Amino acid sequence: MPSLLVCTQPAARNLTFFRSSGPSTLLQHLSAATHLTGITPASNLGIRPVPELTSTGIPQLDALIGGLPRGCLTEIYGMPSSGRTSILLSAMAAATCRQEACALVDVSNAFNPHSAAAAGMDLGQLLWVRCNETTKKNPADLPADFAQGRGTGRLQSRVTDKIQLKSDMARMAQALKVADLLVQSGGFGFIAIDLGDQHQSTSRRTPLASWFRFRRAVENTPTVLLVISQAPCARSCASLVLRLACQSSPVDSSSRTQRSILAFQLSRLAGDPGQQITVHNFLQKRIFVDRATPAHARLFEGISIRLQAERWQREPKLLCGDKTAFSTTTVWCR
Amino acid sequence: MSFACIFVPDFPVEALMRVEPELRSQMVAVLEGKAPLEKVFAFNQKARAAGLETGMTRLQAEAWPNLALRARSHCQETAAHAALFDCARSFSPRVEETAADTFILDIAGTESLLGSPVKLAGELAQCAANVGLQTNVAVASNPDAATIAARGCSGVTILAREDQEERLGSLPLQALFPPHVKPSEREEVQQFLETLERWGIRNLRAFAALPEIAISERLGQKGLHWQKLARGAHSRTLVPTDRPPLFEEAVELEHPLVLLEPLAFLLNRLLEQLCARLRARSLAAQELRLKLGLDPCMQADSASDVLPQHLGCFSRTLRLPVPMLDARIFLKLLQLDLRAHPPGAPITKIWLAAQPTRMRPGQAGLFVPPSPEPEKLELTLARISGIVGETNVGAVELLDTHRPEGFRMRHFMPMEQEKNRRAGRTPELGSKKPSTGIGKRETTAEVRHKEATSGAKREESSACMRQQTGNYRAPEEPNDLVQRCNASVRGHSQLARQKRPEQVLTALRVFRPPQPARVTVRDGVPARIACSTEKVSDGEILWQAGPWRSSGDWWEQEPWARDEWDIAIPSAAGLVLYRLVHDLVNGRWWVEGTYD
Repeated sequence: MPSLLVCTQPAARNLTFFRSSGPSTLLQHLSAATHLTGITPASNLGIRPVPELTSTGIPQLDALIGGLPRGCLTEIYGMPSSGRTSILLSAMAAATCRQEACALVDVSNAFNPHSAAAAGMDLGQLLWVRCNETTKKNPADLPADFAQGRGTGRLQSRVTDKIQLKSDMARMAQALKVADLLVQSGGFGFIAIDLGDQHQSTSRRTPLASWFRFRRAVENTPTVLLVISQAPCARSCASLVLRLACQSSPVDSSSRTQRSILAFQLSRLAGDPGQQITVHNFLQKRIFVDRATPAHARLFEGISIRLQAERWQREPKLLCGDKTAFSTTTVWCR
Repeated sequence: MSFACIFVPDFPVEALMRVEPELRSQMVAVLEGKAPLEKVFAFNQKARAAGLETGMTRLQAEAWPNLALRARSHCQETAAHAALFDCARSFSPRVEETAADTFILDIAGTESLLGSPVKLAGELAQCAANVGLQTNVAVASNPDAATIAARGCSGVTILAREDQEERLGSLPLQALFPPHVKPSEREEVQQFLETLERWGIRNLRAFAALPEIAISERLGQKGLHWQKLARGAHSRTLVPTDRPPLFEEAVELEHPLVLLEPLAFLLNRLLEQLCARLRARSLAAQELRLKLGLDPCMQADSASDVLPQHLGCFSRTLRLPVPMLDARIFLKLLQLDLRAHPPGAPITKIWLAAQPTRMRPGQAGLFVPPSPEPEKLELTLARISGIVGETNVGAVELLDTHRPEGFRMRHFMPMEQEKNRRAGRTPELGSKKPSTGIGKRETTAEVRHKEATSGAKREESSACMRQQTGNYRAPEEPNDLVQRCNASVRGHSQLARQKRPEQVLTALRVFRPPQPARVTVRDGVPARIACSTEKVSDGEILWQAGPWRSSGDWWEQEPWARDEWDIAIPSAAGLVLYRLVHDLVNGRWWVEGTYD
């Protein structure tokens, strides 16, 4: 295996010997020479400081990875309903509680302020940037039949897909520009890029150079840079990669559909069976729903989430592949 | 008692040179009057040396090669006058506004604070140079002697009381009068100078040596007054001015500007002048107002959608979240703003004003976490606004309503939030009337504000809700939520800081706009969903919970009523949880978002 040496003085003269014996022999030989003290293996040059870790607000997650690293790029990926946004809001709420300024680059404009407030986030400390696709759909770009309203089925679908892809790419470009500005401006304790609703094909089109630039920009800063997506897109640029999945568990017995697919905790609010439930809408119409079990007797309470650390530069051997699980709850009130 | 006088020679020319400093290296003449009857009104020293005279016509003046001719600008002279006043006020609180180009300062007692008169005069001249004015400064024992010395001697002049008359004696007789005498006195002054010229008297020393009785007999009381001035013996009381500071700069353009890039150069100069003036008075800007005079001929040709409200004038106001004093930041902010809101017609006049305020204390608390630098943050926000639009950047503020999407965007000011927190103030919330949901799912923020607005009515409304919904039974509330509800309301940020939920809360991702869906209902519950978009999977609903019913604003024009269902649908990637909404007003189904 070839090795790179940084040599400040003229070194070995007879290289044929070292070619045959290998680089380790060369290194030992050079180290033994007292007059060659300026030689340093290149692998020792870039020793990075250990990043400071900040709490995510989730004890299970903190126990697994110690927290989110500052000055590093962290990526959380998983399919929809896998708990990515819950972790994001929890981490941002913890950051705002530390009075840090936070920024959320929302590519899909999917952020729900009420959920964030319920999670304990100080909304005054959060800068929300909604990426807005501003490219107008030019009729000239569309096929003639479609533009005249004669597009059918397949053609319409293809054109719609094309327009959607163009729109997604425009929003992604906006998000990258905005994230770049935020990272460069400094002072933010937490910057999140939400690619959660972007299709894998779109998020993967982001050039790796962008992620590398982000990683270099946040280095040696107290900023936590977090990306959530459906599929890993930052790849090796991320210091910490977490994979999320919805955890399977038996369904509750009272459910109408007895299928073992659900991972939801259902709160059972027993109602009087057979009672009529009246819905009074503003049109003064009365709708009577007669059911054996009142519909609102069952309420969605939360998700059970399985989390796996896929990459962690700080402790690569210890944590890579480690798993944990936790569940979320929904706030209900009158 | 000692007085300092600051005087701007060739004031109309200097006022123009503030905006066009490159003119300092060449001959400049200022014309006054309407074309084609313009006449030379003022000129600089180089033009004077070349033989230019006041009252020449434009045609005569154009005979001089390399002579820059400019029209007189009253607005620029006003701005230069205000700038000179700012300089004077930064050295003494007692300043007399003698003329447009002259200010007299009472500097008695300032030695301990500002140093000797020599040092003060030098700094005064430097301060004026910082705002773009080349001035003469003189210090004397009385105001008039200082004024005459400033008019007659270039640079800094210090007159001691004992040799004051001797120093003034070498000055020409014209130093007794301002360069531009009032029209009512012009004839009298001209006659006086001609008389002394006939007598062979050409400087103040010779005039001061004349016998007083003879002067009184021939020139009257005016003559005696002028002789006292020439001797430096006239004493009077200073009349300090007390006008409010006016931080305005303006420039009238010879040719209309079409592009924003050359406009930026001019704006930069104006902003530098403004900042220098503010700095001289230890103030900062809280607001910048830009007015652009537009070319009326070109407005008719330009697109109507970009024209300003007032024809002929385009205004922009830049409100700064914190006091700032950085010309580069201001320029960048104005550039970004003008790029987003172009004037729509060529620009003929630029008027820029700053709203002064006290400077921001520079030091933050030792234990306060680092936050974005206000200047940098403002610039970053402006740049982001240019990318995604103004309405898509900012902090969120929840409104006092149960209507979906009950929030609004406001300017992001983390420092302001911190200030509010320290002061214990509750941030302003929306003024929308609370709606009375029948069975309502709320967030803690809504609960909190609900309690703030109608704390006593909470129990009553809860009872009402229970009555309306029949067998409604509230689910168990987390302890922390109950504590929040019972806690006194102190404002959003404080409460959020005090207590966070111990468990992770399920987050909802919202589809904006909501995705329309076709829902098959069996036994009163959704059984199958079909959606035309890719965001929502089609298929059988494997699990559902609900409905959670809510309504509101039925007393207004746009009432709303809806049933919310939580559903689970299998997809290629696994199970996905959606919030399904049945709009009871129009009977349509929407998928509002996903639980994630």
